[in-house]
Formats: sequence, C-alpha cells, structure tokens
Amino acid sequence: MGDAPKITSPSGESESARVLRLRPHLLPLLRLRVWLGERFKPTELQTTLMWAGLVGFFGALSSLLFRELTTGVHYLLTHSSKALVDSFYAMPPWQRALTPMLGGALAGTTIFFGMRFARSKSTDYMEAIVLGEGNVPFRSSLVKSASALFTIATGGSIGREGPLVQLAAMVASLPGRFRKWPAPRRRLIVACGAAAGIASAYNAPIAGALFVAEIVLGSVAMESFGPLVFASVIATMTVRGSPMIGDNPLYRVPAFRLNASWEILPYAALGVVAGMAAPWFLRFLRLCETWFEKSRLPLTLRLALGGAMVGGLAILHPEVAGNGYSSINDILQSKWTWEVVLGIFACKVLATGATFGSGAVGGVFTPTLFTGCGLGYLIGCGFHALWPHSALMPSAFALVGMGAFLAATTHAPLMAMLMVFEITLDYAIILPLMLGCVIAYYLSIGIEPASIYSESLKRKGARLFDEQLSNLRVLDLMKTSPPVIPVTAEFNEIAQNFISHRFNYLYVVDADRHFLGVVSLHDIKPYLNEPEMADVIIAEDILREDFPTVTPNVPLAQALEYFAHHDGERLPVLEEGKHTLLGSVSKSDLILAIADRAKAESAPSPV
Amino acid sequence: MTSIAAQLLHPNRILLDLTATDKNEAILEVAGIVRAERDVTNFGGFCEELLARDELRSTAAGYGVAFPHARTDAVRDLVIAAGRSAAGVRFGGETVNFIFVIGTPREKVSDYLVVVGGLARALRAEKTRVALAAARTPEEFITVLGK
Repeated sequence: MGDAPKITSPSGESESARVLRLRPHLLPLLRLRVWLGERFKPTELQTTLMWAGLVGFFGALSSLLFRELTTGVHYLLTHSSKALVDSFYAMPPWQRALTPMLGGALAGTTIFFGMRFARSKSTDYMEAIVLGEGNVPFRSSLVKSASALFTIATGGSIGREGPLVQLAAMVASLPGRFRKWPAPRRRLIVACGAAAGIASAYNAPIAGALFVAEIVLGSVAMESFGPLVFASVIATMTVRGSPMIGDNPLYRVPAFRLNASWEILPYAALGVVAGMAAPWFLRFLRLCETWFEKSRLPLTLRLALGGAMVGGLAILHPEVAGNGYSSINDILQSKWTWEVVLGIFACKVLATGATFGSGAVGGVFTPTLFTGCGLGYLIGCGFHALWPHSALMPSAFALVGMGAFLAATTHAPLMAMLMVFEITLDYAIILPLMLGCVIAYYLSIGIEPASIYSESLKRKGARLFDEQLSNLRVLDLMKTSPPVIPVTAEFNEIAQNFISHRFNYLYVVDADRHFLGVVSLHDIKPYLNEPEMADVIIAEDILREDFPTVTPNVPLAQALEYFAHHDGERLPVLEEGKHTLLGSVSKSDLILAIADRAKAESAPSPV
Repeated sequence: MTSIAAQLLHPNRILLDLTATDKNEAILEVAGIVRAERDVTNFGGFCEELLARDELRSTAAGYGVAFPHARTDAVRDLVIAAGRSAAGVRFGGETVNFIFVIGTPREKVSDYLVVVGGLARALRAEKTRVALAAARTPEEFITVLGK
C-alpha cells in the first residue's frame, strides 16, 4: 500500500452549485405530495368527485341566475313583481289572454333567430349523457334557455326545471371539453350537472342524484352515483345559501297520520288510478305535439298559438299559468273545494298540452307533479266523502298522487318517492307514498313501455349508441400527451414532475418518443430527505422496464385485464409494433365505459 | 445504509492506488477487480454498460467521488468495487479521487438506491473523504465507510 493521497478538495463554490441543482423548495413540496398521496391517494374517481362538486356549485349558480332572469322578464313584460299566478289574478282578462301569447311569440322568435347563431341544433342533455360524447352545445343551450325564459316568464304551463337542468348540464360539459376528457367521464360530469340542476330546482339533493341515476343513466353503480350525490349536495347547499330559496321544504304540507292499518288501502287504490292515468297523460301530450306539428304553422306562430290557448284558459282559471307550483301548495293546504280543483285540474292539463305540444322549451316535471297532485286530491275527496270520520285527508292523497303519477310517467319510482318526501320533508307520508309509487309504476309500464323521457331518446337512435359502445377500443379512451421525461432526467426534474402531476409513475421516453419504462414514485420515496441523491441519480438508473403497456386497438375488456394485474391508475398506450408512446388510458375511464356498455346491453329501453 | 455498502465491500474489492489517469481506463481498472467474481456473468457486457451510463451523464457526484454504475443483466447480484487515486482522474470538468463501481441486476432498483444513497450520504462529508484518503489498508477503508 502506498502513501495516502492528498485529497483534491473541490472548491466550496462548485460543490454548493451542484447541491443547488436540487432547488431547496422542491424537496419539501415533493415530500408534501407524497404525504398527501399516501394519506389521500387521489384516484381519478376522487378527482371526478372534486369536479362534480365544482359542477354542482356552478350549476346551482346558473339555476339561481335563471330564476332571477325569469322574475326580471316577467316584470318587464307585465310590470308586476308578484308570483306568476298572483300576477295573472291581478290582470284584466284581455291581458291574461295576451301575455302567454306574447311570450310564445317571443320564445319562437328567439329560437328562429337564435338558431342561426347556434352551431348545433341538438341541445338535449340526456342525449349528451346517454347517446353522445358528453358535450352540451353552449350556444344552442343559451338560445333554448332564452326561449324558455320567455315562455316561463309569461305564464306558459311548463316547468322551469327543464332549462335549469339544461343550463347546469351545459356548465358541466365545459371542463370536460376544455380538459379533453374521454367521453365516459365527460358524460358523467354532464350527468352531475343535470343532477345539480334538479337538486337546485327542487331543493332536493337525493332526488336530484336519483333522477339522473334512475332515468338518464339507468344505474345506481357507485362509480357514477357518488359524483351525482356530491354534485347534488353542493348544488342544494348553494341554493339554500341564497335568500330566494333558503332551507325550507319546497311545499308546505299539513300534518299527516294513519289512524288504522286499513287506511293505507285507499292509497293503494290511488296508485292503481295514477298508474292507469299516467300513460294516457303521456299519450295526450304526444297527441298535442302531433296536432301542432300537423298544423304546419311556423314555429313562432305555433308557440304564440300555444300561448294563446293557455291565455284563454287563464281567463277561466288564472292558476293554469306557470308550472303549477303555487297551485300545488294551495291544493295541499286544502284551500279549494273539489269542484274548484276539478276545474283547475282540467284546465291545467289542457294548458300543459297546449304549451308542451306547441314545442315550447321547458320541463314537464312540475306540470306532472301538479297533475298527480290534482288527481290525488280529487280521489282523496271521494274517499273522504265515503268515510268522513276516518283520517283520510284529501291533501295527503294529493301528496301521494304527486309521487305515484311522477313514478308512472318517469318510470323512476325510487326517485319519485324520495322527491316527494324531500320536497315536503314529511316522514309520516312515506308508507302510503312508497306503496302508491310502486303500484303506479308497475301498472304504467304494463300499459306504456316508454316513459316521458325515453320517447325522445328513442327517436334519437339508441341503437346507434349500442353499436358505438360495443366498438370501443383503448384508442377511444386514450388521453394524448401524457407527461414524459427523458432517460437523462435528473432527480430534481423527476421530483418536479411528480409534484406537477399526481401520477405515481412517470413515463420515460427516448428522443423519438419510444417508450422505455417508468420511474416509480414508490422507488424514490425513501430518498426524498436526501438531497445528495440529486448528484448521482438520473431516470435511467431507476427505470423500471417491466411495466405493462397496451396498444390502441385493444378492446376495453382486455385492457381491464391488464389493470387487474397492475396497481397503477394509468397504462401507457404504445403504437402497434413501434413502441412509440401515443398516450395513456386510465382505469377510471375504462370502468366507466364498460359500465356504460353493460347498461346498454342489458337495458330493454335506452334509458 | 453506509454499512450495507461497507458489508458488500470486501478488502479484495478495493484498490488504494489506481494507476489509470484516463476516466474510462480508471472505470475499467476498478471494474477489473470483480472480473472473476461469481456474480459477474458477462464482464465485457458489464464494462460496456458502465461506460455507456457514464457517457449518458457523468457519474461524478461533484465532491471528488464518482459512482460509475450499471443496472445490467451482466450481473446476478449486486457487486461493488472501489478505487482510490491520489493524483485524481478527470471526469469531465471534475477531478475524482474515489471511484465506486456498482453493478446491480436490472430489476433491483431499490438495492441500487440503497447502496448509492448510503455512499453518497457518507462521502459528501469532507471528514469521511479525508479519512478515506488517509486509510492505509483496504480494511481501514471499509472501517471508515462502516462508521
């Protein structure tokens, strides 16, 4: 052994310069990211949940804005700041007749001119969720909402929940489009928007989530139901925070009780009547639609004619104006005799047929609730007359009638019973309500297989949707341009990438973008406190080459098998035979797409 | 962790007086120590990969120490050898006095990080480098690393 050598001591400056390559703020940030990642491990589904919350908030804001605008337009056109029905009561007969007609003409004109500005004619959010790519067109949604604004503000017998849901769904489709999400996730977020719209329209978060799950998605799988619930809750909290809504139930109901078990039987009878009447109500609405279409009038005139019919009926009964909300409250408070209710009920059904049939933009949800309410009340009056000393209250029948009729027209009994429970917050009604909803639903689907919503979807070609889904391959769900690093990437560059992206694996490529392997956050995690690693480690040193990959033409089911043996959230997608990195596919998108396909294959009807 | 490197370093795997003055020659001189090791199944391939990795980015750590290394199929288990040069060897713009050659099987990413992390941590301390420079025998060299 020779003498000990003299150490060529490197200058302090150059050594510190090397250490500084790992910028001081980077390691604490990376440690925080690992700490958060280990404790919260945000998967794509959890990120979707976050987006669902945002969509719920902004969807609710759009609902509040629409309500304000409705009040504003009503004031502009009638100089009345009262509620719709009160306002119509105060009008002279000529004004009652002309106001909905003027609204119809304005609504038609808006569509006529607005559709030149819109790029796409189809705005239906259900179509976007079930059949489409999850895109709700921005311009045409605004045009149709503006048209609905005129119809609703001038007393058209149609629900404002239609445009509220449309606007919320349109707001929800924006992040998916800008962030270029795959179609299944875009559809889910639009569904969240729709749920937020219903929840904020009725102050009913459970029904909001169930409306979309039961009617539109046809599934309560947690992958989709969780985000729907989250969006609904956030939307409801948002509208409850506004002075317009508050946290009161939408409808005030008198106390209800069952004195004896047999008293539930008349409610079962109401379920039978509602189940048989609902298909005829749907057929009546379609008949009105056909009649208006056959008239071959231009849209503006058609809507004005529909408005004039509502106006004519409003001369007899001003209660027909609007969606029926205030009339439902009056019926529930037993303000009217059965003869008066019968008159209003008949006129309201005709007014709804006129508005809906003329092609006005809006929802039929609240008018359906009114029809069920009126029907239930009248039947309740009949039972009360038969057994005057029993506790059978017509207003309780009105409540159960709302739920039963809704279940029978929407084919969504769970949503219907929870909706009525939520908008009244009266638990005592739950037993007769559940019974009535289920009986009405089973009877109605025997008579009329299509629900109020499935009809429009059927027209839009659900078969095409089935074909689209069965042909889905990895390519259809692939996200392009995933973050990549070169093999020469130093420790600080690797750390920076793990901070910027919440992935656990970084893809490593060569200069020609050939996939070489991954760097795992798990591998470098123990060394995050050791800045000296920055001096010696590059991506090549910690590259894991044995990482599973897929090619673009792999069917979805096969891709899912890869995930079964892999704990990562994403898989790299490589060009067939060339190993060029094309993009990545995520497990969440895959599960959502396969759930969609399973639903499409098993469901007898498109919704 | 340093002790793990120390445990892997047998006195036979340490050259206290490197003769090479050129970077590649110095790497090969240190690697030559493990030529006959049972765990080195393809010495030629191992050397090629060591040089290729250093070509990709210098393995000099910046404080007079270099870690030429390869994750390679040419070794069956982790092998490590060390060399000391009193005159120093130029690794790009740096003069290096200690060269630690490390070979790990391709799939053993964690083992590589454990060894390199331990060595880098120990050798960044100037007193360790001074003690290693003063070591008169391979056994002393290992003792310093094991502290």
